[in-house]
Amino acid sequence: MREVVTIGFATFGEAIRRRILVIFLLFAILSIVGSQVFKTFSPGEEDKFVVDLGLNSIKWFSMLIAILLGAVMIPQEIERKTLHTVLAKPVGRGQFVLGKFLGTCLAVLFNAALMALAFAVVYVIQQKGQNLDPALLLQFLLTCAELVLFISIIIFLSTFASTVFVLVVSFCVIVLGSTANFWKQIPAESWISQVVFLGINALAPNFEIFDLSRAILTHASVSPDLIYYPMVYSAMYTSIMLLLSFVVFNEREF
Amino acid sequence: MASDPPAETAVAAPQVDREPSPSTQISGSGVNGRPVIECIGLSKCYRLALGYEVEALSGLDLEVRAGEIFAIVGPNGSGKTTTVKLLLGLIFPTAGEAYLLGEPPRSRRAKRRVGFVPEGPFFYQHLSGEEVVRFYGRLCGLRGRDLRDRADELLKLVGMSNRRDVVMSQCSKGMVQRVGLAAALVNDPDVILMDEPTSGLDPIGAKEIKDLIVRLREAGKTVLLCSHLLEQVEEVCDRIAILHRGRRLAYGALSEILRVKDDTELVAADLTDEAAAKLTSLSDSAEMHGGTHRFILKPESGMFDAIDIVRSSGGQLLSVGRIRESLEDAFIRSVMQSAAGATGPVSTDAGDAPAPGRQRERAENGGETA
Repeated sequence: MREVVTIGFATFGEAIRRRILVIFLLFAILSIVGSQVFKTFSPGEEDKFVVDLGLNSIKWFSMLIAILLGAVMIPQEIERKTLHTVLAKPVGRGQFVLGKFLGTCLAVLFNAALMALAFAVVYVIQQKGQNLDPALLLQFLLTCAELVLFISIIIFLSTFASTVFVLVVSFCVIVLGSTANFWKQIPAESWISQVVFLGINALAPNFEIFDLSRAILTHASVSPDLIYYPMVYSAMYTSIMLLLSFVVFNEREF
Repeated sequence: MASDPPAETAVAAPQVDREPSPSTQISGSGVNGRPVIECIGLSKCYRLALGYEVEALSGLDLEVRAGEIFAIVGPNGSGKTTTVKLLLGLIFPTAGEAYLLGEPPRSRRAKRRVGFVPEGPFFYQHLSGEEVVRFYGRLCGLRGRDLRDRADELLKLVGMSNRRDVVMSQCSKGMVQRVGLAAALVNDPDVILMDEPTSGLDPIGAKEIKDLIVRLREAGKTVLLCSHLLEQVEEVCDRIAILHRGRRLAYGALSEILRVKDDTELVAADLTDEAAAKLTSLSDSAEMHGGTHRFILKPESGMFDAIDIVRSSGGQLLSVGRIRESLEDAFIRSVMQSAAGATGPVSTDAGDAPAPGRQRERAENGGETA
């Protein structure tokens, strides 16, 4: 486990020094803070505007950061042959993948936490000093679980594919995952579309189950199922992705 | 490239986190009687697009014994790096077997006792030289003071102690190579695999690495050295394998692989002009550097006649004897023979004991020296 932690921290250290990551973080914080300015475009719905923009900024900018980090982490190690010197030490291939995954998660969640902090400040200002709605903390928890799941998919893809392929497929996963309920509702008109929709529903993750915005905006109480189910879903999906990553990476030649 | 003064730091290290393996012992001949590194019919084909294949290594048989410096030499594309990758388990053989310290290549127990210096290493750019060494030390289970002391010792050993804080992105190629060497030695390995270790180094840096390799052998380490720089290899290694297009052309002790030529070389100083002229007439070639004459005598010329000329002129006979071919000559000969359709290795294994280094036939400091 110590090898995993060592690789994880090295990955985190390398990730947070990437300039592109800082740029995205700044954009995200600008977007969150800017909601105080642009809320005037939604008269009467200022609270909704601030919450919507804030939560979506945290989610989408974090996903972008996850793609940009996750897509290069392993392919770059292979390309630059850093991997050779690491695997020449008593480090298992599974440990290497797990370390990369944890380091990437740490970097992405660290950035998401900074964005969440900016959002909390903006939210408290918007609510004129009232305490944070606990549902917002639950939403942040679910966003973290969603990000971890998404990173595990990126890491799995990067164990066998090039950076460009990982980038393209990751964006497709975001689109499919964010519209998962839509695909379930479409009636299949032919056997081909039936197979396609079945495939999408079976393989693509459902990111919509991680969304609590409706409960937050209506100040409704959050049912425990809305928390437990996505958390278990994320844990299981992530475990499967990591297991597949180990299997694929174990058989690869470098 | 400026460097720290050569360090006389011991090559041995503090305890590294190793799995207890009381049954495994390295002796002069190998691990539990087996060679330290063993390749048996090792072959590797790389698959290309459209079903094409490239045979990078073909049926390599190889044994490296404990405490020797073994070199795999050959031009680019001869299969040197492929062999190292197979030994480290980075790629899988198409046929044959490889063993490192008696274990399969991907054994973590074996890797605890192995160091690897790749050609043109690349490390995390945000880490300093010291942090890189510590990173690899942590991967090997070193912690706390042991790790700190080991990193200090190794950075001094490779001449990087004054530049330990320079981050990799600002390091020259030579500095990165030195850090790579320190990182490879951090776990005090019994076996060190080196793939072109002097790549990117200036002549002084290359000599320091060469001296370090010799010191590693003196410390009882086994070194597998892959290089195409034949002169460097010739100076340090005990046994070699010559590879060409994935095939082993020659294998054994240097003293057995390098043939003795028919030419006789005579080196003398303080010769009179008359004596020099006489010797030149007996020679195929003659050179003079700062009062020292070097003659390659004609095959039909008598060696003792030449010696008499030196003595009668009052000159100083520095050395005389047969010339042994260089490794470069042997390599070219092997390749030419292979191209001409010669089958089988040029030379086979050179007996049980590692050769005690290169021994020139030329009578230097004794023998036929005056």
